[in-house]
Amino acid sequence: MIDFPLLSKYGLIVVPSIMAKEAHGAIKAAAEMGFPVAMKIVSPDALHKSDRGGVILDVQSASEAENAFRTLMDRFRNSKVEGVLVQKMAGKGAIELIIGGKRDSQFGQLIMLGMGGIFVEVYKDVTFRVCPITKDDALGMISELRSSPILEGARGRKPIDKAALVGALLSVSSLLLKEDPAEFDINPLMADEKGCVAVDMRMLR
Amino acid sequence: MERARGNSAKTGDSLAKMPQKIKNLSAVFNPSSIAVIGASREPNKIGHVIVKNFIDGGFGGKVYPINPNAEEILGLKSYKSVLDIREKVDCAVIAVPAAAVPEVLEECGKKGVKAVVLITGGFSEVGKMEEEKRVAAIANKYGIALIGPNCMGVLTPASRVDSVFLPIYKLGRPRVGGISFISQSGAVGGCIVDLAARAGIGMSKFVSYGNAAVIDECDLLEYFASDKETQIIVVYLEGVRDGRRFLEIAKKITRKKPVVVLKAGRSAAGAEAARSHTGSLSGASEAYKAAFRQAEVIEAATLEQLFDFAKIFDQVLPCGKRIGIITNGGGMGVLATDSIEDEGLALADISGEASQALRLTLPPYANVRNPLDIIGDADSHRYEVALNAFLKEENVDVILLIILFQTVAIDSSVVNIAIRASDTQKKPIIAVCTGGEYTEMHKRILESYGVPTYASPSSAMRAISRFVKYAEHYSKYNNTACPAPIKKQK
Repeated sequence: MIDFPLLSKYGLIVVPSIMAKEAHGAIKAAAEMGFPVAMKIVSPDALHKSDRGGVILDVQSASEAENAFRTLMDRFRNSKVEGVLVQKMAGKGAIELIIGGKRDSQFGQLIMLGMGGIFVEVYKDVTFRVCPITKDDALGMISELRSSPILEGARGRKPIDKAALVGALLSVSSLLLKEDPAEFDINPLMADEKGCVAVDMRMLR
Repeated sequence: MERARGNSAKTGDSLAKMPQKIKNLSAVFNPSSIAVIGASREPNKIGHVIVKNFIDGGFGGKVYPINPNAEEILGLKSYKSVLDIREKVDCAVIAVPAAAVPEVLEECGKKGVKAVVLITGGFSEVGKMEEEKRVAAIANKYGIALIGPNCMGVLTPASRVDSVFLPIYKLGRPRVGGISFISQSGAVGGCIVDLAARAGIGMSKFVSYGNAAVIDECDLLEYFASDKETQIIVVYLEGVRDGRRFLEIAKKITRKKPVVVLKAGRSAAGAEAARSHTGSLSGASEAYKAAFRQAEVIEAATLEQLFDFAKIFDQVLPCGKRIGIITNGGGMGVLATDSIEDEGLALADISGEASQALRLTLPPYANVRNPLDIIGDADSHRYEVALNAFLKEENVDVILLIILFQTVAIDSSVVNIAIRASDTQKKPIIAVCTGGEYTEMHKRILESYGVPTYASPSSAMRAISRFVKYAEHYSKYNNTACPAPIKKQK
């Protein structure tokens, strides 16, 4: 479950998210942040929520939001459910990235930057540094990804806001050093020309 | 020819600030007297080979064999204990059974021996942790710089220090050079030293540090960072004891001297894979890779690359990545051009000054472009003309000199031409010579004069790309005129 105060404390920008316990709460939240939204079940039992149909994307209107809420509740009626998280959808052109961290027995906290998305384990387009990192390290990580040209704006795309990504990497580096988790992921981090927004995270102490 | 001295010696951390045990390492590498504890009269015993190597190698200092049951070993007076020697003893090489080590080490401490090379095995590598701790405690009590236990010894070619317990006729000793080589494995270290000796690559020091009970890889790095004779540090690692310390020390050193590392045991780390994305995408090897990158350590993937990458630093650092290729075989030029692209280097534009000069002097059927094919009938003179033109051409940062020794017109004098061009220290000159015995012979001569040679354009270009990248890093921290000499050759 995304820990907003934790991410915000280190200066990371988190996607607007509101937890709804009931359908009308979800509609209100969606209207406030503006459609389209994503709706996600929040349940301690649902680790792989997308595999179990716990995530509905691209919800366009109040009636769709109501339907989505009921569908999610129905799918997880046998699980312990805390509510439904309503999140603003990232722009269409945004690129899914992962910023992760891991405690290494030799070097301490490592920070990772990688391309996200469903094929992350196939492409394994990732790069690591030992924390703390400098701005140059962060820039080095970005340019080392094989997919770096995509971030730079391949095929007529707008290049992503590199300064924002550097900022996010530096923020995660200080988070890792302070919190010292066994494992940590922001996945996905949506990056486009306007900035980088954390959509989900997990942390193992 | 005396090369200009890089500013490495001046900016190096002075030894004075270092812990006693690191300071005492100078007694390991440059002792004026040495005791061999466990010296033996039996020719096939380690304790015999070590004494013999000191004598045959021409060590200039005193050698004291220690053996409770011998009067004389290899013509030298033998002592029962190091305490029986009246003169001072800088360093002791210990090759007695493990059980006897604490006692003789204690005696070394009492005698004021500053450094010990403990060859003896049978400690932590076979699970005897307490025994090793006891040895370390004795060494630390006296501030002894102890290398080992379970190590293969130390070489300093310049002062003929040689405690490597393998016979000289079986394991060649390298000439004096600027590379200091730290090896966690004695076996791998020994093979590499043997190969380096055969290839004509020079070495300043070699140390196999074994179990690292007292002196570990980081201590050796610190020592070599401040060692004036060391221009390049080469490390064979299986693991480091303290990753953060390694990273910090390596970061500092690479601003002054290149560090080339081969990290073994990459695949075993995969077992560490954890559940999360980050976990499954990383292993301990990722941590090493990350640390090497951050410290600007040059990582070698194989034993061959370890010295391929290290020996290139015999040349002055390049100002850029534009390569000028001279070849007497067209196909080799094409291969080299492909490798330039693979390694992210650039082909120099020689259409200006260089090409005018070359058109006047090369035969009319030679095509004046880069790669410059001076044709299969090229002799030494034609190489000289081409080299001079490329040395002058400001668009060329690195000269790749391909010499195929198989042709009729080529003879040994081309080696002199190459060495003379290298000695101008204007630009790095890297040779590619592919071939058999005749070629190998010439490669050895080139190597022994500091001209690095490679068996293929691709292996040369791989080394050049590391060289160019390091030069960029070096110039960030050193205000030197371009090209910067890193190495002082004796």
